[in-house]
Amino acid sequence: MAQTRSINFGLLRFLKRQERPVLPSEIEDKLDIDHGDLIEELEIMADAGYEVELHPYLGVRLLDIPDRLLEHEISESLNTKVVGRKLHIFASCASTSDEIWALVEKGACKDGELALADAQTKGRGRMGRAWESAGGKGVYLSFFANLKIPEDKVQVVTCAASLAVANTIEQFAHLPATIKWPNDVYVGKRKVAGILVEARSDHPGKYVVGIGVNVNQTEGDFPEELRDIATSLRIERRTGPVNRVRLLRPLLFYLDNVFAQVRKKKFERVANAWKEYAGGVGKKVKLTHSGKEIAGTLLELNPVEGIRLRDERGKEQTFRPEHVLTIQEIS
Amino acid sequence: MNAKEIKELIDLMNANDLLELEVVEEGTKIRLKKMYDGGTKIMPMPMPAAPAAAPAAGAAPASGTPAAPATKAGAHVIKSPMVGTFYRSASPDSAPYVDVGDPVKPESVVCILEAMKVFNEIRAEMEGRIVQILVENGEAVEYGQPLFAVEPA
Repeated sequence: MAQTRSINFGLLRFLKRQERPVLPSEIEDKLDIDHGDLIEELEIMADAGYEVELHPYLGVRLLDIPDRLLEHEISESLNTKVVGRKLHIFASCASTSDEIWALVEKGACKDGELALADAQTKGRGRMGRAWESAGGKGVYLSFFANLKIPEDKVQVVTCAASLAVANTIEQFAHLPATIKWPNDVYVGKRKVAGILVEARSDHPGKYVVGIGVNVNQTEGDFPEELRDIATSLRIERRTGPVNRVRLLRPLLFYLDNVFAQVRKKKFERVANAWKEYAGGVGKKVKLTHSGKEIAGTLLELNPVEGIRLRDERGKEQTFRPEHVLTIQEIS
Repeated sequence: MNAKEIKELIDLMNANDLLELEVVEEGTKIRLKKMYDGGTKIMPMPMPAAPAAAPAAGAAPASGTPAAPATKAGAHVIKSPMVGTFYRSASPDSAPYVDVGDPVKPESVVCILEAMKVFNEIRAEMEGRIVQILVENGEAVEYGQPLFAVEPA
C-alpha cells in the first residue's frame, strides 16, 4: 500500500483511551491540530485498516484495529516478560522457524525472540509435511526458547506450547479445545493448530517453537482433502472474522506464562495442565511405537511419566512418552 | 549366483569391514547389508585409541554369520543426546542425510531424533567420514545410544 504518511500515534492512543465518541473540536483542542489535519490523519488511519467512525452528531470513534500484523499494535498490547519482547514481522517468509534459527546460529538471538509472518511459503509440519500457511488467514509464529532442562524432559517443551495454544482458544475464542497426542490442537474432530519444536545438537538447550493456528480460513480456503480434518477459529465460531492481532495478545501471554514454568522446571505442573486438555483415558486406542502399532485400553496418559495401556490380551504395558509417535482412538 | 559366491561376498565384506555391498551382474542384482544387533555392545568401547578394545576386523569369523561389526579403532561414535525416535531423512520421501562412506563436517546434519514432536537435528560436530550407521530408520533410541561411527578426518 502506498502510504505516504505514517499514522499519528498520539491520535491513535488518544482514541483508544476513549470509551465513547469524541467531538472533533475536542480532539483538535486536546492534540492541538486543526480540523483539516485531523480529517487527514483519520483518513490515513482508515487506509491502514483502522475502523474509524466519524459520526455527524456524536463525533469520532475507533471501532477496531486492523487485522494486520502491525508492529506497533502487537508490541503495544504485549503483556509478556520474555516471549515476543523482540519481534520480527514478515509479510511472507519461507518459514518463521528458519528465520529464528538463522539468528540463533549467528549467536544473535534473545530468549523469547519472535518471528511472525502473514504468509509462509515453506511452513512445515511433522516429518517434512507442509503446513498450509495462506496469506493473512492464520497466525504463523516461531520463537526462541533458551531452556536449561534435562534431556529426558524435552517433551515438556511441546506440551507447554500446545497447552498455551489450547488455553488461548478456550479463553479467547470460547471454543472447547482438546489436545491430541502429542501436540495437535483440535476443536471437535478437526485440527485447528499445530506445533513443531526443533532443536539442534550443536546448540544444546536451545529450542525453536513453531506454531500455526488456523484463524480466518473459511471451508473454501482449505483444499478438498483437508476439509474433513482441518478447521479454523472462524469456521468454529460462526461469527465472522477473528482479529489475529487481538488473538496474539492472549496467545503470547499464555506462552510466556507456561514457558516460565518450564524454565522453573515445574514439569509436573505443565504436564497436569496439559492432561486436562488431552482426552483418551479409558478409551480404546492404537499407538505407534518404533514402527509397530499396539492396540489396547489407555490407562494413563502422562507426557512426563509415560503412557500405560492394557493390551488386547489384558497385559499392562508402559511406554516412555518420547517413544510414542501417535495415539489414535479406535471405535 | 550360487551360495558359494554369496559366501565369498560375505567374506569380502567381513575382510574389508563393509556394511553394505551391492553387486549388479547381467540379470542379477544382489545387495548385502549387515544389521547391527543392539546398541549396547559398542557403548563401553572407549573412544580414544584403545587398541585392546578393537578386535581386528579381518579376524571376523568366516562362517558367514554376520556378527555385530565392531567400530574401527579410533572411530568416533555419535551418541543420541536424548530418548526418541531415529530418522535418517527429513521426510519419508527425501534422501537420507548421510550414508556409509559420506564425508561429514561439524555442521552436517546426520539424522533427526523426535520426542513428542521435538525434532532434534543431530549434527556430526566433527569432520570425518561415516563408517557405520548403527540404528534403523524409525527405531526408538535411548539416551546415549550410539547412532553413527565416524572415522575422523
